[in-house]
Amino acid sequence: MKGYNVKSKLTSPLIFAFLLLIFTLSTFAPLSHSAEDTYESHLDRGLKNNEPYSYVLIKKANADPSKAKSLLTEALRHSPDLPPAYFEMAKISFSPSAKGIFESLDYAIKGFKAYKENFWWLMSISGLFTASLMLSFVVVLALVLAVRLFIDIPLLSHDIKETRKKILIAMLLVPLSFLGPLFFMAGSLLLLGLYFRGMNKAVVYASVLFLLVSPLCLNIINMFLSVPSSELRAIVAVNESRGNKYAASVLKNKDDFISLFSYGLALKREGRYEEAISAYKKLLASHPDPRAYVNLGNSYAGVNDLAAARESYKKSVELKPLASAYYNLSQLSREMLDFTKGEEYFNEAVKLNSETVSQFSSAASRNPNRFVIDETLPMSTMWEYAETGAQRLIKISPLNSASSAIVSIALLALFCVMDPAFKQRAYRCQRCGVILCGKCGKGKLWGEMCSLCYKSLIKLDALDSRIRVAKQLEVQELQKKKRRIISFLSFAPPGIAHIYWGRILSGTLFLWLFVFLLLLILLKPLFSTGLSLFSHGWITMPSAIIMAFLYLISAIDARRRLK
Amino acid sequence: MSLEGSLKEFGLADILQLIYFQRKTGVLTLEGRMDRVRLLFYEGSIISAETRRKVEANRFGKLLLKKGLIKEEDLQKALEEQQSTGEKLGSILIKKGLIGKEQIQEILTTQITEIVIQLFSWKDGDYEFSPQGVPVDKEMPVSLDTQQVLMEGLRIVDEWSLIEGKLSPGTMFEKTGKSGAVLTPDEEDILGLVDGERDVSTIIESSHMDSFQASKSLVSLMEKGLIEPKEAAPVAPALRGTARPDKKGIPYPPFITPVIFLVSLFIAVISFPSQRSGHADRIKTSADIDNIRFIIEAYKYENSSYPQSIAQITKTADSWGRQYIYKPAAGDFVLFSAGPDGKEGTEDDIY
Repeated sequence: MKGYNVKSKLTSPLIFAFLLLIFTLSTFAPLSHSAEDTYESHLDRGLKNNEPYSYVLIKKANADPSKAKSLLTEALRHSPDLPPAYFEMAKISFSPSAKGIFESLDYAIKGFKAYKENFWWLMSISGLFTASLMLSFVVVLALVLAVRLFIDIPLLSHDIKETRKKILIAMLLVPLSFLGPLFFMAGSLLLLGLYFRGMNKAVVYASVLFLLVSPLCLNIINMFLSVPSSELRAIVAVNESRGNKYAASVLKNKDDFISLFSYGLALKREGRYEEAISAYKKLLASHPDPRAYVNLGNSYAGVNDLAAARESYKKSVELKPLASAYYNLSQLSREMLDFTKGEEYFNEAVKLNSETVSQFSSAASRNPNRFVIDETLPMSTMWEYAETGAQRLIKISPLNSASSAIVSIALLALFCVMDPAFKQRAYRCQRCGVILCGKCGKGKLWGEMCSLCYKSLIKLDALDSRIRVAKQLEVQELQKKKRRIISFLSFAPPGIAHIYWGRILSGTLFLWLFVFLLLLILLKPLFSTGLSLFSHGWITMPSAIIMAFLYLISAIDARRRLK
Repeated sequence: MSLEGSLKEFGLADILQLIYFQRKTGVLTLEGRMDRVRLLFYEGSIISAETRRKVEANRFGKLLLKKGLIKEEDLQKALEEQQSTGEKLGSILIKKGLIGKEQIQEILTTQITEIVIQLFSWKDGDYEFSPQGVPVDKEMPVSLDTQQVLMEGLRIVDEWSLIEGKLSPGTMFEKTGKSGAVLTPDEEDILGLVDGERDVSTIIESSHMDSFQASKSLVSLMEKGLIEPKEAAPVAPALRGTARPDKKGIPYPPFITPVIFLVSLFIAVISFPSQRSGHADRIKTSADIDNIRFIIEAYKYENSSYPQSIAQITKTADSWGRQYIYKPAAGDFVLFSAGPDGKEGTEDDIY
């Protein structure tokens, strides 16, 4: 009995350890097994990016912080140009030590570099920034107008009352508005801008300049918005080595260079060599291109027609020496047991681009997709394709771009003529807010005050003390009201209070930056084709921090003004 | 450093305004012919006023009685207690539960206002303001908005100017012989002085009132018909505002400019081309398909097989409100939208 007890005491931890081992193995095994499989099978299909798998890994890493590092390393292996994987890595490797900060920063920089390698990410972030920048400017102009209309319209009214002719200028706004909201805003700002002082006029000029370039801006935004067409998605998928099947089905009936090139590549990687060969032949008949010759050679290599393949590579080298052509030639020569030639070609290839060659030879195997290098189209070509595919999704004016430019230049000229021509412009008494102008105020008194304020403040003996005090109280009341409004507006988005009290330029800049950051966060879903699961998540935090900072500074600035 | 001078050069209104605008804390002492008044300011607001000449009607106890807040005998008892203990009358009354704190504050406010207002009738005197710390009554904080007191004072000054318009210093009055009207003690005093020989300035001199009160009483006696001037008092000509001559030309309603802006805004909004192009629908669907494909791929890595139906992944419909068409195969899947026509296999399908 005693002996059994001892035995059980010994065995139970053993059994426990054994079970634990099995359990850990069982959790790790499927993952590592499938990961290896996935990676290899991906390479066999000529693919080097597997973003859905990386997404799953990142999700697991988030759920299990203890294994995060190894999971994320794995994710980076599967998609070496996926920015969020680097950002996640930066997040977990951060620690308050010098090493942690450095490492984290390093990954963050790598993340930003990854943007350059990844068409969709680069496209969507450029689209997001461009659209936010432009839309925020429109929003800011609208807000400036909304605030200033109440303040400056009475001045305009006063001027029109004094000089009836000026109503004609105001009337110009009506036909201008038929051209769309942007023209209305620019026109209104031009009218109100007559009463802006000094540097504040820059806002008016900026709005007209914006109007001038608005057709161009619109084209750019339209391009970004119309990017996710099936064709472009297919082309990017092939050329960035993400997937072939989709491209092989979508690009079937296209015959422009970029589509046909990508279609052939997709077919070749899917092992449909005969179809790939005919696609490339069709392409080369109209566009002799060294890259297409390389890929044609690769398709021949796929069907083991080595002589035809070599012929094709040589044609490619004649057009333009490419590292891939030489590398493929060397592979072919070695296959045909011509090792001296093989060595010679290999050296040529290394001379042209050692990095790519070493990358590919490290992954090389007997598989036709890994045996020879494929040529892909660079990102610039895809951008060109995106530009040509742009649709007019958004219209803001019935005018075409040329006539809209003419109208905006005319507006700018009108403002430049009108601004100095308006000699007697209405202004407000700096103290009591009464509207005056050269005609009724009998010349500006010191400090832009009305005569009553002037007397009550400067020439004390000119007024009866009763009137003086009453005036002072009225002014005091008005200032109090103004302070109340400013203190209320200091809680509004930054810059609004500045615009209200007349620092329009700095207020506009504050507001623009703020709205821009806000739109970055808000418009993110609109520019995340194929990335909806990641989106540009890193933007939110810095934007929110800067926004809070801006809000604080502006509120403090506005409150300082109250003192 | 203190601010001092004569009221002739720098009026009371100006001094109060200065203290108020600059939010000063300190004591303003005013030395007049008949009185000496100290006003205590805390950050520009009046918190206390002391006067050497206590006008009986303006005493704290009298004000309480006048407002019917306490009874005469209670007041007497409280006053006796005040004499023996030296405590404040207000505190004693609160302690006895005869009166509330708010009521005392109200009385104190009235008291201060009265004192300040009577200052406005001063024609000459000296003032001195010394910025210094002032004791704030923590139990019974009183704070008057100087601006309001000022306005009240100015109103009285206005009344004063009316009185001055009706009286001139040389006017002599005589009684009309009427009677029956209810008179205030002030008016009775003044009525006793009217004998048909004294002129206004003599009456004011002989009365124990300040000129404002005396003149006011004279005017009210005149209005009640008890006295009349011996000769017609010169009436100040009414000030007539000089209206600006209207400009000739097209009539200009002031609302025309805002109307122009509103009309333009309306037009701009109306003319905004808002129609949604077919391209936008296709592109939105295309982008959705891309996202869903990604999710399906990710699903496969998590569950080692493609989902059985699209409903497991998303409920999003395409731009034409139809479900996406999803067909899983062994190692692959097809996902597309039937396009605007809603029929599978036509040219306008979107993959």
